[in-house]
Amino acid sequence: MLPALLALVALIAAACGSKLDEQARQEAIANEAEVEGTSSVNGETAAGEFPMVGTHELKCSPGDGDNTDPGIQGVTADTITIGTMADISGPQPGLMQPMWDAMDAFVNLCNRYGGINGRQLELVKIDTAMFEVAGAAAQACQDVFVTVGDGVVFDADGAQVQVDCGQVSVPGFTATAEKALSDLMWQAIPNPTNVFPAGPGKYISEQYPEEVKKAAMFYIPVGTTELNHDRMKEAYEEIGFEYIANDTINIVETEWKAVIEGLRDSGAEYVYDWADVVSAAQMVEAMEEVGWRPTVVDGGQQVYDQDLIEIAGDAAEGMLVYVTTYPFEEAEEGTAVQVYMDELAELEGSPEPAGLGVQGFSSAMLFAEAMHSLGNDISMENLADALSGITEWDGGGMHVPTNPADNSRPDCFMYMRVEGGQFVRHFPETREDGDVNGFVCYDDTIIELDQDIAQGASAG
Amino acid sequence: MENLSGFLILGIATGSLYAIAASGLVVTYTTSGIFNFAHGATGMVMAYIYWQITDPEGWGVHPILGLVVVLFIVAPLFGALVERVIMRGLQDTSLVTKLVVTIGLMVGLRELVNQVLWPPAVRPAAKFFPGDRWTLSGVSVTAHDLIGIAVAILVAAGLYLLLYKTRIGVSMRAVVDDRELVRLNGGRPNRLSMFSWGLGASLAALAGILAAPIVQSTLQVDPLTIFVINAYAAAVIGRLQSLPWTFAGGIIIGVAQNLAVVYLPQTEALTGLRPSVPTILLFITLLVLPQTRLRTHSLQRLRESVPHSTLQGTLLMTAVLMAAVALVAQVSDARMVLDLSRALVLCIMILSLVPLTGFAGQISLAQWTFGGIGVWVAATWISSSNPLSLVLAALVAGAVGAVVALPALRLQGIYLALATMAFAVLMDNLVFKQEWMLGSSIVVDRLPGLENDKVFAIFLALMFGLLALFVVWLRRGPFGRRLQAMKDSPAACATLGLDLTRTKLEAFAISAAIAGIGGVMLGMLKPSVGPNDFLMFNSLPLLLMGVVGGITAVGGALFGGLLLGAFPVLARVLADVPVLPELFLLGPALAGISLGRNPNGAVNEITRSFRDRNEARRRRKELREVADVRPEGDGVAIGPEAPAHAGDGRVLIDPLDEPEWLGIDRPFTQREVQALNEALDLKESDLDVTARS
Repeated sequence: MLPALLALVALIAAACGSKLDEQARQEAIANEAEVEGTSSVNGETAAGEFPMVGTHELKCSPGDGDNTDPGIQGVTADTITIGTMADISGPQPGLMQPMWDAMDAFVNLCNRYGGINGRQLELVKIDTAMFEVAGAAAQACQDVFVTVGDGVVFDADGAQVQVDCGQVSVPGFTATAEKALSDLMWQAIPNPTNVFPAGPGKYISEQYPEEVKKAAMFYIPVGTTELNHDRMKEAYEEIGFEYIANDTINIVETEWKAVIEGLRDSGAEYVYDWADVVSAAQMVEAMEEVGWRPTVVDGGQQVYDQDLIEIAGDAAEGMLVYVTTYPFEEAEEGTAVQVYMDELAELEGSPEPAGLGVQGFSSAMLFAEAMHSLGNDISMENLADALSGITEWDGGGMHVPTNPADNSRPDCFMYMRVEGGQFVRHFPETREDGDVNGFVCYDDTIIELDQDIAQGASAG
Repeated sequence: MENLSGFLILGIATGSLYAIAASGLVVTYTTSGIFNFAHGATGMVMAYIYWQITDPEGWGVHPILGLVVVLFIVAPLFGALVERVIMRGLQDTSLVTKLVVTIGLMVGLRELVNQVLWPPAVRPAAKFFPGDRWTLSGVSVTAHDLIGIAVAILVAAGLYLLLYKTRIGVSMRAVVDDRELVRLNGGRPNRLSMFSWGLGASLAALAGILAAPIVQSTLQVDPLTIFVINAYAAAVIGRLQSLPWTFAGGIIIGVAQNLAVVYLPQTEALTGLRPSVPTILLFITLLVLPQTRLRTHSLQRLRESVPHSTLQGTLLMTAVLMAAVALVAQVSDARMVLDLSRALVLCIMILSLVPLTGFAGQISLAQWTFGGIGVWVAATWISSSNPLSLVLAALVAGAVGAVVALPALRLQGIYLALATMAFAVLMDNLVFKQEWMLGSSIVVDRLPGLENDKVFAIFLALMFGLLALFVVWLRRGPFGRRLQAMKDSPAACATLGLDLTRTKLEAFAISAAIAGIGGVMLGMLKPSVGPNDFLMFNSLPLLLMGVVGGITAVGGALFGGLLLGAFPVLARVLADVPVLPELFLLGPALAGISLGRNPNGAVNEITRSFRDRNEARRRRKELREVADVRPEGDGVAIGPEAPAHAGDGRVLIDPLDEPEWLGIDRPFTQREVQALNEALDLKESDLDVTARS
């Protein structure tokens, strides 16, 4: 019995310890934020005006100096405490580190220009450890004003928790339907799970009309990949794809060669793999070994990752990949994504840029936009109203144009192609050929889905 | 059909790797009697080390040199070290202890690689001679595949030569037959053990290095470990002693797996079937293995003891626990309350192991699997907000447990452990993910009135207490006595007409039932649960911390569960401190490995030392009243040293000064043994038989 009590005492000590620790951590972050740094934010302006991130005025400024304490959790006269939930520890350590990196970069940038209306941002990093999402959301409800730039794989578990405590969240991305369609949630690139933007498919079907009649798809029948597979299949079939093979693969697939042999036997001429980048890399490697590949090997944003080339090497040549974030290959002085990359480079360890990080950074800018418009009249309701009023957003050119207020986006995209070990712009052929930001936008290709999708977390 | 021979070749290629891995396992098992669960993890670690040495992103050494270094230096050293430091001390321990230590090593190696040494990153694993391939009957076969087959043939030939044509090999085979006889004939079983563990590690390394590029083209911890674990089925086909059959088994598994790709449709319902082929073969093999002979005497001679819990003690523990939980919940933030609740669920899960592992000495690696079955029943058959659902969950989980255990119960304990592991993996791959089962996730309602997290935490404490009372009640009744008798001497029980299979079955069913309830509790705690919550790998720390805490006592389950729940919390809270978080993540593994020193578990050791101290104090008091006390001058001291003085003129006699009292009414303590040795003028080296062998 005694040892059990000792263990309980240890738990209590840990409980008190955790509060102290966070206090210390917040202080450290606040100190960090005041350090000067270099920045390629162009058009550095005189006091009273805003720094430019691409084409967007980032609403970080010293303000008028007459801030008052609004008396709500996480906001004082001088500070705003925001949280970022991400999967960091757990079975895949460091999985969503880019989300924390992006927020560090943003907070550094914004605080350098005075914070939001003179309120410095304090960042609380909350580790969801993949399976502790509910606990992390509970922590967020208690410790911070709102959460910004989150990246959580199993975000369904935290969605209702945050809605129940009335907390707004502006995540970097959403994975599950419960979060994607949740109340009190706005994000830079909305991803409503009850529709599917089939633009990329339409482009493919126009370029390869015969091949899409012999289409094949692989997917892991679990969680988000299964959800996305189901959505794409229904939508693409609606625009004319015919799937002659729709096969499941395992999370750890050891028989890729045999699988590809089977694909060749089926006569497929187009293939898409709904899994992670490692899986896609192994798929094309197996194709190389077997000595056959279908005419079109298609992939989405999840495959727009240097790891694909690192793993698959030459086997990845010719692969088509569509993206909705501005390609890093075209980053240059004056573009929004360059600001993100520059701020990242200033961080300790100079982490690599990542597509999800871009989304997180843009969501943070979205939050700043709404927060700034409140001035001194800060409350959760006002923030929610402000976010509900932003109907056009593109992060200064960091990604496709979207409508956060409506939780929707027009069907804009861009295709890259793997050539010579690099991702190279494929369609539209030049940035100028695009409709917006170098992306092409299609009308009437957003397919409403008939299938059953889970409900978003609701305020009741 | 035309590609059949091509797929056969691919199957033989994969099967060769299974065969190499399994042969290493059989070698160590037959020479030391320990089934090395960490064999798969060893292969995985060696593959990582090889990558580190040879990859351009690592140290860029030439592959041949890298192979030599890993296969002939690093792996054998590692194996020998493991044997010397960890396994040697397990000779007189029960199967449970042996298994727990190796499982601890497996978990520890996995965490060490994944969290500390090589955190997830892209590490491409290149095949040998990539680009060289031939087409055999329509199927493309690479040089790497053929190398695997060639190596397996070489290994088979090498092992045959070793075991039948060399002195060492003959000695190894002799040790299989009768270890003591070898020692009496001047052999050195311990040296042989070190050699065979080194050999086993090398074979694991060989399999791991060859398998890494095939399993996934980047190094990843779990896929590689599971690949070698699949080889365990081959070892079972060889009945853990016949190398030829082990090799055959490996080939059979490889071929079956490859043919499954060809002939099984790739629908959602059957997705998990392909990676489950080795597991299914394992089950089939277990069904046809002949029954093992019964043990005639207990293995637990000196090192392990079973204390008695009382109903009153357990009642008190429950009350204190509930009060403590209520107090902690009040002062903690919301996340900590959830962490505490999760720890209590872990306590319940570990409690489920007490009747099975603690009382009956059997092992289950599928507790969370039964939890998953339980929560599915409770949430989908009738709503979990109905208390009846708990009963139903327990019944169904218990029934499934009985069915699973049945084939393996007539065999040795190790086979039961493997059967439960295979069952758990099968459920993970094939069943839990099905839409009609857990799908991606299910929502489990709490019982009415428990919506508040703090109240639910107290409820969990109550639940634990009730289940603990049930377990203690069982222990003190006829069922408990049967279990104890069975543990002591199965042969004697059989001659008395006790149905061993039925008793073990009942213990297994009860254990599974409690685990089922634990699963429901987890479901009620989290907003939703899914297949990821009930993975086989998650069941391993339960066994580790349970045995370390003291699996024979419900208090041990409480201690083990709370500690297990505390580790990740501490790691998170202290995330900014160097080293400590990693240590906490390695906690369960380190605890499991250290069990070799402390087979009774922490709780039993602590209570026993308290008891010893109380005993010593009591004895001293008695002797003081009885002994002939003289003033200092006349100095009649009983014993080798002068007696101590109490300061008021009384002389205190320490039991250590009176060797003839020792050992009569209570067991020796370590101090007393040393004193006895001194009194008899004996040295440790005279007594240590092993030092001379």
